[in-house]
Amino acid sequence: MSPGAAGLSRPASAVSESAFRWLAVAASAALLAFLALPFLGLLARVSPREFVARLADPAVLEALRLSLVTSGAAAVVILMLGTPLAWLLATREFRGKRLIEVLVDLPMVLPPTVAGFALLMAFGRLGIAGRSLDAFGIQLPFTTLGVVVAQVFMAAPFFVAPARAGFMGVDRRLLDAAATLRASEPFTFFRVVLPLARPALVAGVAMSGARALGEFGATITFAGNMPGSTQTMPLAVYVALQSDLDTAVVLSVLLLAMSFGLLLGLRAAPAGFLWNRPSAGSRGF
Amino acid sequence: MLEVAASKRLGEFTLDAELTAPARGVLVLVGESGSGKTTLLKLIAGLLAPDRGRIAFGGQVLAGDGAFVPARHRPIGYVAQDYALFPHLTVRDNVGFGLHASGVEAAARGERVARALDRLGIAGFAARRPHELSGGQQQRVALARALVLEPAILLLDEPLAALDLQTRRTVRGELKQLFEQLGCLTIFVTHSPAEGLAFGGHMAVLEAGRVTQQGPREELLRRPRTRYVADFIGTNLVVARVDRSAADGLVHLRLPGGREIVAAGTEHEGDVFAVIDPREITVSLEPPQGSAQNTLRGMVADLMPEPPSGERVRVGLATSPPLVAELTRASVDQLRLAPGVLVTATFKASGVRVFE
Repeated sequence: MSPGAAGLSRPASAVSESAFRWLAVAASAALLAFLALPFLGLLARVSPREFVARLADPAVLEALRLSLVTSGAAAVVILMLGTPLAWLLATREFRGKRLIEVLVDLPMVLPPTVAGFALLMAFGRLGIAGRSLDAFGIQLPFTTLGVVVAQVFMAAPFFVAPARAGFMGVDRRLLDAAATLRASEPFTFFRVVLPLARPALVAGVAMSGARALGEFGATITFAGNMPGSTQTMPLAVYVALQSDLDTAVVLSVLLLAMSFGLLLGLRAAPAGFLWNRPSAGSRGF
Repeated sequence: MLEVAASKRLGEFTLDAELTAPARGVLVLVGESGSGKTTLLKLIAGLLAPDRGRIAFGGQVLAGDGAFVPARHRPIGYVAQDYALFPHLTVRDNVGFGLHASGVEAAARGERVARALDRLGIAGFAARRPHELSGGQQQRVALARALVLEPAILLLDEPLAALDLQTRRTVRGELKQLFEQLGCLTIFVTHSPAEGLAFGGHMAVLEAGRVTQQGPREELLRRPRTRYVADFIGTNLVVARVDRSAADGLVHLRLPGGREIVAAGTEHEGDVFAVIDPREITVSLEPPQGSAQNTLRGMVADLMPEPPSGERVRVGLATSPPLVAELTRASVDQLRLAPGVLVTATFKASGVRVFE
């Protein structure tokens, strides 16, 4: 170190700065290794050929089909009902709004088994809503429909939060401009707000879909664990763990791949699809 | 005719404005930033509701008397300062937005949009998106988008502020021409008095949430009523009371501080305004000998060449009341005027113009 440099930067701060950097890198590396190792362990358990062969197993296909159908349905329900709620939360002030916000966020922190139990109390045959539904011949507990209900309950917050943020991110001045251009609120919503908030809505649907796909506790409590009708992939993994470890591995790897693909897709999606920025020569949407 | 007598409180700021404007022509709304220009514009547009008061246009009440017509039902066009173009729509769809929202059929819409694009010379950009345009082009899109709806009141919030200097000069000329062709009332907001004076027509001056003066530009130039207006038209304004009791036969004007200046004959009585033309004021280092009618002593506060590269210099004087004198560069150099130099300002009674 030259005398000049020593005079300019105090040694103490130089040391703590590099120590800070090393600590940050070391801590990050430890956490990342911890997050990655289980997945590597899973992948090391199965050879590609065996994986493909096991995919054809009817039990695996059954669970896969059920999972895709139920979580897809849950995502659609969440999109249809969650979008208006997110819009109202983003644009209106009303009494009790704080309470509604807590209610919407609650499933994110609630133990899923508690959620499933609560659903049973509400929609079970003797539950407050279940009795009326029963009168119409609709049964939710221990049915495929019940799986969707449990997934919607657990996954809705993962859509509403980003959708609301997306709506709030739409420039207020554009809404003013639309109002001075004779546009009604519905017109503005469909022509300005939805297109501009689309990236947030897409991300929200993907996140809530992924959450629905992985839902376990509320499903098994409320809908049970019946192969073909309520045994989704996470449940099938749990069952297979006790008897058929190889099937458990295949199902797990499959779930892992689907979740990984969904999250990666969100980040790597073509700009025009997610972020709505027109590329040269395309009309965007 | 547009009649506004409304107040609106926004946090610490209160707008309390009275304004009338003819049904056609240009009204320039001048005021410093924070004076409430945008708030007033939004009240007229219907983007804000007044707390109290009334806004009416052509006999129709837009706000007040228990009624409130929302923005989308008012006959207005609004061009925001940053244009607020829809980033996801092409120029064509931006301009067609209002027609689409009003339910105009696609065919008729296309025709009217094409005409609006032509009129503003942006037909070549119809398929582009706002972010692909320059500031000047974006402004034309915003104008076309508002004009295609044939508004009765066109509201423009600082239309030149977002443009670079070069563009601003050309656009100013074009806008002036455009406004003259339009058969509507154009309200043009600016923080730049020079810009406002360049547009002419009617002017209204907004200071701290109140309209302090309004009328034709010539009226403002002749009879400024506030120090702010006097400042921006470049003259000296004092408020005074006429006193005819002196034995010298001249009209004495008593200023608020107790000082007096003498003015040539006037028939006005009581409280008056008086303008002292900066070109009528001479500046010397020593008090002049002889019969100068008004002499005020004070230090030079600042020097501003006018125009910036020009031969004349506006000299701010910390006299009581403060004055601005306009001298040639040669005399400034000869007197070696600089901030802090003690001088005497002299002007004749005939250099003081009194009005009510």
